[in-house]
Amino acid sequence: MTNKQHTDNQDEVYFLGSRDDRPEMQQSDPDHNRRRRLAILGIVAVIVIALIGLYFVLKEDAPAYYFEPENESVATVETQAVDTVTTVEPKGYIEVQEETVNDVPMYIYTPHNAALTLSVGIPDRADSTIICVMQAADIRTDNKDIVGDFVLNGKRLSRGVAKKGFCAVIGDDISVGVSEDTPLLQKSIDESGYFFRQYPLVKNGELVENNPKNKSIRRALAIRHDKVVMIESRSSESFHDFSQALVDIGVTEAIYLVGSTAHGWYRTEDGKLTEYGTFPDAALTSVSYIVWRVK
Amino acid sequence: MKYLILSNSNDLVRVSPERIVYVSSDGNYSTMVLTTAEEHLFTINLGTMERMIEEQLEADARLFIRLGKSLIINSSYIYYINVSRQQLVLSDMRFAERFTLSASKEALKALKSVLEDSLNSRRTEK
Repeated sequence: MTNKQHTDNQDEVYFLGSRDDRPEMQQSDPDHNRRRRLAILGIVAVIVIALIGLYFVLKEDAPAYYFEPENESVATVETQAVDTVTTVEPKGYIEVQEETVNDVPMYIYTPHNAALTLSVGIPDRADSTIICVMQAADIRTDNKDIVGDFVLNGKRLSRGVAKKGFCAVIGDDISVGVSEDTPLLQKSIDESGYFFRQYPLVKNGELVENNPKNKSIRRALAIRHDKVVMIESRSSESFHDFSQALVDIGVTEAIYLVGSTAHGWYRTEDGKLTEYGTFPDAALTSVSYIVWRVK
Repeated sequence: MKYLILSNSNDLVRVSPERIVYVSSDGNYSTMVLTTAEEHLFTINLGTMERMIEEQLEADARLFIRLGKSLIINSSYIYYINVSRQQLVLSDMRFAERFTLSASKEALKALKSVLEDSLNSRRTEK
């Protein structure tokens, strides 16, 4: 017997193609849409006519304001000053690229003007300073604790080297590597940094083999062309094939991030938020995330 | 016979509706499971998959039932529903194996009602 686990949040049940019977589907009826478009056009036309009329009515009073342009020019200067300040502010976002190598299609997420931290518990999706969230460390099935060493803002929340890959964030420095005993762990504690462990995928540009042999959507935190990026397979892949694909696209160091249905989101340059995966069980309080925030 | 045609960047799947047992959603990804237990992953969400089924299969799309947020099932293969266990079994004598899915109690209750209603309406028509 094949067992598949799905948890539905919405409980709507209907035959496909029968949505005409449902209120929301009435909106996709062509006649209804045409009528609605005509009504909107009508309203817009009335507003435009009203604005034109208002313009001509006010234009007659214009001479009374002829001497105000000096004030207007001051206002314009102020506006320009504000605009100038706005454009100088760095804008953080995630650049998404698609690459395929050896039949492994991937998304590559490159953060711009953003700093990396960790979080335990789901970050606030409404926080516009957060541009990317991906699940970081694994959770133990027995006691629901974080697997391996985990440091949150200098506080050590978990211990262990079951997985030898690590990511350390100390100040502005992000290190991704493979080591059972790295001094960066203690440094992250001493300097209020962040540290977590995951499966190692690539070390010094070479594939690292891992035990799990199943196929799934894979994600990685990687260093490619001296930049920290996140990479996601667009199809179910084995650890071996995914790691080999990372090597083939020029990744020098990479550790795994939680794959499959793990939950996360990212914001692109146009401000669009894309969310994926399924919300973790509310009972799991130790779900951890890498969080990219605007610098 | 109408076929559903779905494609990725690399491959294309052309399949008749009766070969599809169910489609499950994993966020931005949808996995189509066939009667042979083969799985095909597409980088589209379930809403898009639903629209493609409706557009391509037209009236035949009614073969499928949208069950909650993350499932589209082939109604021909509904074999067993257990609301309290939140269990739905899709099966057919031609299948080598059964497909046991889990869904919310509310969704399964609604599915049970939909099936019972369709049975009642058939009785009334006679």
